[in-house]
Amino acid sequence: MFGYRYDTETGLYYLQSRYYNPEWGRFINADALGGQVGELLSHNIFAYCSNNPIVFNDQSGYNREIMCDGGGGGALIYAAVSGGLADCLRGLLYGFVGTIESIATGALVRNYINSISSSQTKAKTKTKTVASTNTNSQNSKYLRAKVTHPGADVYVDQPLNLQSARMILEIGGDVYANNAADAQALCIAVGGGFTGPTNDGNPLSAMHYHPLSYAARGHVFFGKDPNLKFVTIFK
Amino acid sequence: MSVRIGIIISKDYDYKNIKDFKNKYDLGFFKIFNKYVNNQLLEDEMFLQATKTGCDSLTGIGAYDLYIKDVSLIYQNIDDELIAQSVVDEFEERKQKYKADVLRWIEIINILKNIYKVNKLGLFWHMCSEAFDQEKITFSNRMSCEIKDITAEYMMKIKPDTIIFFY
Repeated sequence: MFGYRYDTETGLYYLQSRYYNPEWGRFINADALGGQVGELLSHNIFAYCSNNPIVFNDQSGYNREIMCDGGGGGALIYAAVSGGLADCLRGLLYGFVGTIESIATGALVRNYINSISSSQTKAKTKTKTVASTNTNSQNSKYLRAKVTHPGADVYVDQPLNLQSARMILEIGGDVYANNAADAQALCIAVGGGFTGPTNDGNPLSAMHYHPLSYAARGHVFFGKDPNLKFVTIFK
Repeated sequence: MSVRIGIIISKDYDYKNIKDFKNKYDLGFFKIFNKYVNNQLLEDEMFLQATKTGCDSLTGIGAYDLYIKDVSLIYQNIDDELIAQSVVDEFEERKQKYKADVLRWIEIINILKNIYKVNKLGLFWHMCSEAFDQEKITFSNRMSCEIKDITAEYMMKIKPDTIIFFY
């Protein structure tokens, strides 16, 4: 159906041109065609159907296509089956609650959506608390960080100077820099230059640099990547 | 750039047999088509991505230099004692992870060879700057190691881009 082929060994779907990971809700290979001008989401080369699996499907791995209209209920079920629940939830988050509520799938679906919306509101509240913690961070170029795979924690209460940030990288630790330029400067200070930025091909990973020295397994995260979690440890 | 582990396995091995084993050890074992790697492999060999993640920076494989790192200078270079201690504690935590990871890999190799009877089984690590299927990997060496000789230190001392075949 729809040209999707499930690989029981890898747990991935093959869509004629690339593999799709239903757990991540993302392709694991980049889009060969790239984005289109005027369609911002299309520039995310790992996104599935512009993050909207309820309205679109992608039979070839190259282009999203609008699924049958008037079949909203079917689309919801289809998205849940083919794209995974994560895609469903993501679709809801992107503003399709109204669309789905209008379909004739009865109170059960509406209640389900309401419960999801409620939990999403709670999640937003929690994120706000963390974000407000971030505003208290000290004005340091560097902070301690820790990769959590796939994301990373940034310790806003642990400022570092260049020397201490460099030492942490040299023993395989992770650091956060305010911006890309500071991240690059730090990698250069470690020695040998840098590679990146990269998210290792995983859209759930935060963008980072690596110093180009042999032992440097440490990451230098930077900026306001949504996959970074700003936390306080000591206070 | 990220550390990634690659597996070289017998092409004719039906690795559907190891599905449960893969799940138990949370392994990827995704078949990767990389023309640079394929050109360097023998006819009967196949290249797999070992883990599910795109970054194996916490693997102990090849981490010997980090494992033996002297961290005493941390206390002299970080003024805040609390942060310095936390950095050292985190380093010790990573060391334990490196050690646990290589022990886990020794177990995996033993099971694949002795229980699942995988004829050819090789392992390497590489600092990747591209996706695994695009990366220009040039193997510097192909070596062999008898299973009974594998130790944690041996695994930690594996050089990058060196395939170790276990027998």
